[in-house]
Amino acid sequence: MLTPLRLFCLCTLLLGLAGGASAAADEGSGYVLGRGLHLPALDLTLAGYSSARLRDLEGQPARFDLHDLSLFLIWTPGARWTVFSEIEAEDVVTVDQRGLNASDTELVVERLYADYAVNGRLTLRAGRFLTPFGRWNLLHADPLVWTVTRPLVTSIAIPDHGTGVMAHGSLPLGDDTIDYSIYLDDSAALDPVDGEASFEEFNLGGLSNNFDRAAGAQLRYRFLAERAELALSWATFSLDGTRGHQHAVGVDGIVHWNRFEFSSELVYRVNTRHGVRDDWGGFVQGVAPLAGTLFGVGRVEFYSSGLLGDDAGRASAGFAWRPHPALVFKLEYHDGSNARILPDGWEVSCGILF
Amino acid sequence: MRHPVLSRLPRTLAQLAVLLALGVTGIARGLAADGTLAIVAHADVTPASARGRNLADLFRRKLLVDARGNRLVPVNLPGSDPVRRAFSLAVLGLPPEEMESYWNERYFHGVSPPPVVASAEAVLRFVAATPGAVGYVPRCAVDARVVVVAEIAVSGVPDAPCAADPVTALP
Repeated sequence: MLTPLRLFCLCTLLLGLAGGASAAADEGSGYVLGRGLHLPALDLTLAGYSSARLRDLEGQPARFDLHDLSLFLIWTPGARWTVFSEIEAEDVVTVDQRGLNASDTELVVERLYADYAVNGRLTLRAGRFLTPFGRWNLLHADPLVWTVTRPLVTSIAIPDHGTGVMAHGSLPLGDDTIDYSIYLDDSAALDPVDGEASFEEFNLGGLSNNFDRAAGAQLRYRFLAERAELALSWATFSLDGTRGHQHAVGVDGIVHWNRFEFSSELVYRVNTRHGVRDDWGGFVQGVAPLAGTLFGVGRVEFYSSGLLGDDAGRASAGFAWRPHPALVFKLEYHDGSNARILPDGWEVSCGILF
Repeated sequence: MRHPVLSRLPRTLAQLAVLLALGVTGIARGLAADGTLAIVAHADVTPASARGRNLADLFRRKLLVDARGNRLVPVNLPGSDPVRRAFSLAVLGLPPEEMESYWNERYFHGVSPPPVVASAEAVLRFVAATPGAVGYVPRCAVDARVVVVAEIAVSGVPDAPCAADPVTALP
């Protein structure tokens, strides 16, 4: 049985590996922890991340799982072309009251797309990609975020993946930058996952996490030497297996200063189905350095769902320790208002970029 | 009759003034240490791709191809190198260690940071041998293997005596 102590020891071993493998790449080839394995002769980069998590939540048995094991394959067959794939193994190993279980593993194509750089400011993308709505969805991997759990608004307001075409790029604005994305989705016809994507962290029976068809855009303003961002997101979409049409608008922002971080996302979604009220929600999160690479994290979130006919709010507080840029250990406690959707309890995780 | 101490006072004061001036200059040199970095590129790189705002976007791996469609390959010195630090502060507005979270996020989208080589000489070798490569070295380290597309003034990197060899530069 994997106890928190054994989980900590496992992650400490990973830390030892991190310390031994942290040498810089030599002229672009070889392996660097947190930066992947570069094979210039093949125009190929192998990369990825993994995370393990232990949860002890109210009303549920304690559970450990190797939550994510994702492999990235980045191929650059030509100057303008990049092909990217992310294959994820979910629930590789779980340990709960039934014991050790390794038979529920699923391989999922999280992302698969080709990018063509038309010029330095415009790239065209085709394939399955993360929906450019908000900030968290585009950077949701455990080693990149400060908390074990994902805010509800970043999962439920809009499906996290789309399949179709996108135009994206960065435009200079004085010393600042505007990142833009515009996309069209036809998951009903094109999605390689074929509607099997589920909500990874929440029990939201009756809700779909898959587009039927969608269109959307995002503008992200980066300023103060990219220490701060402010973004506006919009999408209009229909959900697989759900009647009606939805329109969502979101605002998100983040600022980093002297190792402090403050971030927030707010979303309003219009549900056109008769008799269903609109959705709205958001979160506010703060991070503060405590000592060395140890940080304190606090978050407050709320979501009101018309499709679920329910509301949920939660406060989370905890710690994150980043002994290496590619490695993070987290501990947090949740206290919420809706035990069905956001149960109270403790969660611990260890995430690594490799 | 001349006083034994007062008669020597003007000369003593002059000597003290010279010493003070030299000391201040020496301290000023140690504190200011302003220098110039040369932005060097492979011969096939469109110069505009590595100048002004494009230089920052190139080293943030947001600008991936130049106007001719050639893939751009920026190269860095190690994070602990004072030349790297000076370049990062001058061009990106942040020291190298504050770029780690940015590169983690870019990594998640399949974009790796620029490769790292050990020295200015290694930068020159890499840039000369790699189509699309762009790097930076102290101005005095430049030689005919590379093309200088821009120069930037930085703090923290004192100019060393430069050789008198001419350097080829694109207009």
